[in-house]
This record gives sequence, structure tokens and C-alpha cells, in this order.
Amino acid sequence: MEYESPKDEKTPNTENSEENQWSRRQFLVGTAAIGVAGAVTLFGRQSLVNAARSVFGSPVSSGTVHLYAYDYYYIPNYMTWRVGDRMEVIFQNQSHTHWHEWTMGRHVNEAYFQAFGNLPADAWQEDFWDGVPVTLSDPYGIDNFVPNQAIVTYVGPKAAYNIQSGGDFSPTLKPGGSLHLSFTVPNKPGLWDFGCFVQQYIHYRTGMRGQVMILPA
Amino acid sequence: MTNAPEQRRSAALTPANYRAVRFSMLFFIATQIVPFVVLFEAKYLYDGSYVSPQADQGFGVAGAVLMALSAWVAWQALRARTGPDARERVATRLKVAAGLGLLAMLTVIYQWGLRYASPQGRFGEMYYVISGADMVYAVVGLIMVGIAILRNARQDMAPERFWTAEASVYFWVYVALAWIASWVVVFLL
Amino acid sequence: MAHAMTVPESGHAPRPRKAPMPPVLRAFLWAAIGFLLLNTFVIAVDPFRGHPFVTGPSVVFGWVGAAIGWLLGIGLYDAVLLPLMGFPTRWQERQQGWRRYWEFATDHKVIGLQYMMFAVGGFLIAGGIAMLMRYELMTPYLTIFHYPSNYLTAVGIHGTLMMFSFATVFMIGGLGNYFVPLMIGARETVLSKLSGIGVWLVPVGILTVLFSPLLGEWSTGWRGYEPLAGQDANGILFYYLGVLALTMSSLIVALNLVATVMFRRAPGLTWGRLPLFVWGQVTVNLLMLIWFPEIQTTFVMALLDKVVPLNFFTATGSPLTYLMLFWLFGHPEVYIIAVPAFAIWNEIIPVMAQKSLFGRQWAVIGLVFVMMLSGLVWAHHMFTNLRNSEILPFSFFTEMISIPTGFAYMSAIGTLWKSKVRLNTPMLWILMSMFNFLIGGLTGVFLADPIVNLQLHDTFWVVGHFHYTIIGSMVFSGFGAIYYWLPKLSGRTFNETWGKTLAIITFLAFNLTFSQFFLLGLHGMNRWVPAYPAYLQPMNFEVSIFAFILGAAFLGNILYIGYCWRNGAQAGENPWGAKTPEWFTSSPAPRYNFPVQPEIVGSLYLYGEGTKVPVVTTALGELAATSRATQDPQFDWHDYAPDGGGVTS
Repeated sequence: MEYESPKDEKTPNTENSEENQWSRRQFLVGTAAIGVAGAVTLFGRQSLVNAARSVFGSPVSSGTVHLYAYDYYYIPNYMTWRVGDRMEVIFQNQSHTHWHEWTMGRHVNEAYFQAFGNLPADAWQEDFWDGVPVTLSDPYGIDNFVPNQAIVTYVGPKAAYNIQSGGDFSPTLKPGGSLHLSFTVPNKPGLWDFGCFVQQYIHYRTGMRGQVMILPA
Repeated sequence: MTNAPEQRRSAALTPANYRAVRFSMLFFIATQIVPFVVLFEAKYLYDGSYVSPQADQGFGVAGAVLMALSAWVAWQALRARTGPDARERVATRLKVAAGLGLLAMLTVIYQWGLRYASPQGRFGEMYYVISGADMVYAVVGLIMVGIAILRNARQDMAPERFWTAEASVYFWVYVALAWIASWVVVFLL
Repeated sequence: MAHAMTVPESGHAPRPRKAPMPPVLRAFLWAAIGFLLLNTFVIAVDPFRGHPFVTGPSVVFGWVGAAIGWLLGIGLYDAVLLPLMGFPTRWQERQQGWRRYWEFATDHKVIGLQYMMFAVGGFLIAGGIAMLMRYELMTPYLTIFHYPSNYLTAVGIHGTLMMFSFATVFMIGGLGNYFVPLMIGARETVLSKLSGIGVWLVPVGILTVLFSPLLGEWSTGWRGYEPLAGQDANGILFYYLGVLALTMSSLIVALNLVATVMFRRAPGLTWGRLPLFVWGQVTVNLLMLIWFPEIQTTFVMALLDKVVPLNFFTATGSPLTYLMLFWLFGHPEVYIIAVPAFAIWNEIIPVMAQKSLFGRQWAVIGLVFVMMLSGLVWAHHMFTNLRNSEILPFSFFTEMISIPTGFAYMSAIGTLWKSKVRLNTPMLWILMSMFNFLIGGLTGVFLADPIVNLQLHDTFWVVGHFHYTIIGSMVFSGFGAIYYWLPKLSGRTFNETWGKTLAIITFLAFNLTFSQFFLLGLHGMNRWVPAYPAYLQPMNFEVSIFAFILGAAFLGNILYIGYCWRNGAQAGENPWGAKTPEWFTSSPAPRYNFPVQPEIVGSLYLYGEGTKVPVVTTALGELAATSRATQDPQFDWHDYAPDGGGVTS
């Protein structure tokens, strides 16, 4: 590479006519800006989203809400509920290939995520559904359902729910499965996490999680 | 700096250049046999010689015959490059070839629309992937032929300019051959 | 944009025109537009429930749109598309200044430097990630990586960028593009425009792989293993797409260099006289032309497996098929990386020894046989999946391939034998490279043994082995080549003391890091784990320290080369006394390399009394040795013209 002094670049010549000369400063500033934007999207996405949410808030959802599970994320992954509202969550597994569940609680025990040691099924220290009356209906493609401490009413034959014990409150759906959950938002205000712990937390670790902000009545 | 680089840059395709780029094009086309070898091997591995009874043999033959015709017409465009009104004759042949190719692609799209084979099944997934590969190559080939048609309309038929048309015809003939081979593998063997 | 108008007023004022946008920024803008167009189209045609704006299928098509937009924005629109369609264009290739390295170019030297620039960028990014990995491994539990999947993604990005954007690119796309035409006395490459397009696919690939975590983690490493990838999030899509762009770029390099060597050799440069480095390039280019389409097809199938989804490689399909298809490419890939290094050894050693190359034919035969055998050893990566009867042939061929590899050593050692070698910086790097590759090769012989392999599979022994072969051959030889050719590339040279010091530090840090990998592996350290049993910590901690020194040493070398490039002492025209044609023009070479066509009249590797200068620069025509015009007296250009060639545009 021949080294050109800046002086040379200003010298007009037939090849580098002034119209062809793009700006050096624009180039440097532009690429630096793109680099910063890239770094922010790569490392600081969640902080940006949280900041935007704290500034603009998030609309309260009530009535019928769809919750879709994909590989590995939920849509939506953030909801705002209000205590005392009547909710019907239609939980649908949209994956073609993977089983997904919906658990909700607080303080996931991340020691379990280490590579060694046992992996118990109840990751939440506090299960949101403890003592909450909830009605399940329209089961389709249910792999299993663990009621834990929830007060559950089943619509239709119980066999369709494949009720199991052990672990958090968790409906687990086969690919394409769906389930309706009807309940009144209990008086448990604050921020709750939800997630999918299938395949020994791989889904959760990979980002299959979300949050519900419950506002006081 | 050498003297007059600009002149060299815009210079016509010299005979040595012509032979070099033709070699490169043919070599490139030869490398593109590899993907089809992989796909045909996968087809053999996954479902052997099974052909779904729902597969419409008529459409299979129609597509292959249309592509063969299209390739033959395109090849005639190369032979028509000399003589009077070469430009019109070349343009007509290229357009006919592209039209026949489009028709062949429509037969595949129609078959896809019938959805007679599930992409989850062994036959279905290889059928969709191999015919899909044919379609991707055909789309690229059509773009090349289209560029050749556009270019011929705007420029003269001097040999250094004709290379684009020639290259697109080479590629189009390859697309047709790959198509016919796919038809044999998917519908017959 | 007004500050761009720095040119003083000339006689007649040009019509007012906004200064063009820097091509790189325009490329980013057009890429964003391309992504939005195709992504939105796919979302409209194939909406997902819940209406996410980016889905698996949409991001694949959006990426294609972004790649096309990027290429058009970087200059293809003006330089290729318009003239291709027969429209007039204002595009003129820039002949000087730093700007031509940041836009579309057709000069193989500019393209070669662009390849080197991007490859070094990929090396620094992937090396930085390696530093993070070593920092994580200083403790037996998770520290900077929150989850194991984060760590595995980092490992995957490190491996993918190192393999596809650096190891495959630097010596072939970079040094190959720059020096092959010079070494065969050519004035330009055959597919110069295509080559200029291909180089801009490298940043596409690097950025795609680097930003793959945006779509979610992937845990497969640089191999994209199925069915493991089946449980990965969509991040694996960007792995497949990024590698597709990078392999496409390398495929273009291969096609261009093969055609250039076929058709642009100087008069007298017969295949028997072809420089060794060029032989190395031709052999690996042929390997790439065979195997890259194969792996691209495999990756497209894996991509469809994910987005449609299909069942080729999932549990209900045939996972072993993916492994076979991958390693069919994967092992030749390793030789694609190493063979140019073997060639470089025997390029530099005769020059530094000023002694004729020993057994030149055998050195070439070695390269060619490595190329041919490399397609027969793939299953040695899968001994744990094979039956005994299937293992044995692969074990045999794997041990056989060390024989042609040995030819490279034989020629090098035979040349060094009783020579008065100049032990300067390039020579030092080459000797270090030979030593490191020897260690890598010998540990590979252990791994070729099925019984040992079953024990060492997936341990740090394997990691040590391939870092010794890849870094040991390609990176060390690459530094040797850059120091050797620095006077050619920049017209400037370096300080021997600094060069040697940096080389020795790098060598020591490299060996102290990776030799311990073998011991770690024997002690039971697994690959692919961010957390490990606590008894392995002391050694891992200490390895990490040496790894940081190694990282700093590489960085120091790159900075020092950059410094010498601009500020080094002026070098002579042929400072090493070499005989290959690239030294028979000014440094750096002018736009069309040689003012007049050089002719090759003797062997390029004979030194000593009575040998002549093999390159003469007489004013012949520009036609290559093999062109029809020189061989066929009946040849007439007008045969190609329909009306006698009277029509020109």
C-alpha cells in the first residue's frame, strides 16, 4: 500500500475528481456509530428495553390473553396484570418440534444451572400459583400438568390433562398443543418471572422467559 | 502508475480473456454439480428408490420436457449470433427460452400447491428440497438470461459484449440438465 | 456533507452535486433496507401467531436481502450492475489513496489487502473471544458467562470466525490474491470484478456470525453439529448464513486464482517452473472448489431442517449423515488451511539459505498428495460413532497422510542441510512454524490410533492438537510470510531486533499455553465445558495467564507490522535476494504489476554459482504463455466477431 499524505488527497487529479471523493469524517463517525449501536444491541438490549418500559409504562392486559411459546421465547414476554382482574390465558405451543411449559414464580435457584450436581424440578423458590384458584379448559396436546399447590378446577375429562405431581405449577404442551387457564389475578402484586424449564433448563437459559408486572387493585 | 490504465479497464474482452472467463464459467458450473450429487445421495439414503404414488408423473415429464426444449432454444441463440439481423434472432430465442423455463417453473409451483406430499415425510422432504434447488438455480439462470436480453437490446453484438449472453446460456443449459437429472431421480428412480 | 468538498475551485465550476456517501455507510443503509423489505414481505406472507416482527423464516430471507443490499451499496450497483445491464455508469476505479480499500475494487493487490484487513479483523474479534473463554476457565464455575449456553455460543463464534474468516481467508484470499498474480508474472487476475465482489462477503459473514446471539444462543461450535443444533435457538441460523457468505467468498477466490494460474502465467512460466506458493494455492483452490459447494449444500439442508422444519438430521432422520457430510468437507478444510503454509516454508527457506531447493518435485508432489488423501480421512473425527471394521481404513489413511506431509519437511530440511542460512525474522517464524506443526502432527498420530482416540476424544488433548496444527502452521507461517513480504507490500522493512523479540515471545507463549492443553486433556479436562472439576483449576489458571500473554504477543506483532508499514526504513527492491517474479517490479507493485511483460527463462529455485537470473523483462506482448495466439499461428481475433470485428461500442 502506498502511503499517501493528507496533502496528496487534496490534490485534484483526473481519477479522484472531487465528486468521487467521499468524506473521511463521515466515514469514521458513521462506522464508529454503527459499531457502538452494534455493541449496544449485542450486550445492552435488555437494559434498553427496561429503561423504555420504565419511562413509557406498559398497557394493562385483562380478559383473554394469548401466550405463545416458540423455540425459545414467549410472545409476549412481558405483561402487566391488575389484582382482581378476571383473566383467561390461552397458552399455545407454536413450536413444530419442542415441548414447552409455562411456570411462573420468583427467585429461580441458579445454582442448579451449574454443570454439576442434581437438577430438581422445582426451580422457583416461590411459586406464583400457590393457593390460587384456577380453571383449566380446552386441553389439546397436553404432555403433562403439575398442579403443585394451586386450587385447580378441570373442565372435561381429567384424563386429557395427564395430571402429574412434583415441581412447580406447570402445564407442559406437546408441539402444537394448547390450554386455557382462567383465574382472577390474586393479591400478589409486584414483578413475577415466568419461564420454561423443559430439557433441564436449556430453554430457560437460552432465553425462554418473561415477566409479569402485577399492579395493586 | 502505468500509463493509461483507464484505457485498459474499459478495453474489450480480448481472445485470451475470453478463453479465461469461459474456462472459469465452465469450471464454476462443474462445481455446481456437487450440490446435486449431495442431494441425490441424500435422496437415495433417506428413501431409496421410493416414489410417492400421489406424485403426478405427467407434470414431472412436462417440466423436464419444457426445460429440455428451453435449453435447446437457448443453445440455438448462440448459433444465431452471426449473420444479418443477429440481434433480433438472438433476442427472440433467448425470450422463448426464458418463457419455456418460466412455464416449467410454473408446473413445479402448481405441484407444490397441490401439497400431495408432506414435507415431514421422507419422500416429501427430498421432493421439496430437490425441486426447490432446481427452482433456485432456475431463478438465478432466468436472471442471467434476463440480463442478457436487456443487454442485447441496449448494446451491439460485438463478441466481447456477447459473452454475457453466452455465459447465461451455458448456465441455463446446466440448469436444464440438473432439472432433468432431478426429474429422473425424484420421479423415476 | 459539505466538508467533503475540499477541492479548490477549478476553471469551470462542476454542476453542484452532493458528495457521495462513504460506500461502507451506504452499504449498511442499503443492507438495512434490503433486510426490512424481504423480512416484511415474508412476515406478510407467513405471519406467526402473536405477530413477532422477526421470525426464523423471515430472518433468513431478510438476511439475503441485507447481503444483496450490502453488496450493491458497496459499489456493485455502479460498478457492475449498471454496466452489466448496458446502462452508462459514472463509476471509475480509484487508483490511489486509502479510500480505495473501503470500496469496491478490481485490483488484485487492493483486494488482497482487503482480504487481509478483514481476516485480521476476524482474528482480533475471535481472539478477543478466546481471551474471554480463558478468563472464564480460570475458575471451575461460571463467572463472566451467566449460563453454559453463553459460553458455548462464545466458543462457537470463536471457532467459526477463526476457521472461516481468518484461517481460510488470510493466506488464500489475502496473500493468494496479492501474490499469486505477481508470482506468475500476471498483470491482473481473470475474474477481477467477481473477486472484488467476493471480498465484501467477508464482512457480511463476520458480522452475521458475530451478531448471531441476537437470535438466541447456539451450542454446536464451528461445526454446526446436528442433531445438537436441533435444540438450539435461532442463533444457529446466523451461523449457517454467515458461513454461507464466507465460503462463497472463498469459492470466488479459488475460482479466480485457478483461472489466473491457468491463463495468466508469464511466457516461460511452465507448470514445472511454477513457484511453490502458487502450487500450494492451486491445490487448495481445487480442494475448495470440490468441497465448499458440498458443505454449502449441507448447511442449506440444515437450515431448512430448522426453518421449515424438515427431518434430515434430527433424531428421526439420520444424524450421522450430517457428521459424514460435515467432515467430508471438514478435514479437507484443515488442509486448505495448512497446505499454503507448507508451500510458504519451501518458498522462504531457499531464499534465506541462498541454496537451491532440495527435491523441488517432491515438495510439489507432497502438496498434491496431501490434497488427494485429505478426502479419504474424514471419519477419523467420528471414531466414537463407528464400528471397528469401519475405523481401520480411516486410521490407516490418517497415518498415511503424514507421508506426503513429510515431503514438505524433507525439502525444507534438505535445503537447510549444510546451508549458511540467514536466521532473520521471517526465517525464525518459518522454523517455529515447522516445529509447532511437527508437535501438532505427532499428537495427531496418537489421535489416529483408534484406542487412544476413544480415550482422548472430546478432551483438551484434541484442542491442543488442532491449535498446534492450525496456529502452528497457518498463523506462524502467515506472520513469517508477512515479515518476508513486508518490503514488497509496503516498500518498507522492519527492525530485526524487534521482529525477532516479538517472534520469540509469541513462540514461547504459544507453546506454554498449548503444550499444557495436552496435559490438561490427559488429566480429564473436557472440551465444551465452562465449569469443570476443581482439581483442574491450578493448571487452567496458569494456562490462562500464558494465553493472555499469547494474545498480547499476537496483538503486538500486528501493531508492529502496522507501524513498520508506515514508518519502517526504506527497503531495497529485492532485499532477500529472491528469484521469484514478484521481486522483479517496484515495491509496492504498480497498478498492472509489471511495466512490461516479464519472461521466465530459468528455474526460480536454483541458487549458487552458474545460475542465472530467471526473470527477464523484455517488452513482449501481454499475452500469457498458454494463450492461443502464441500457440496457434492461424488464430485470429476476428474469428470471434460476426462482421469482422468492425463494430465496437
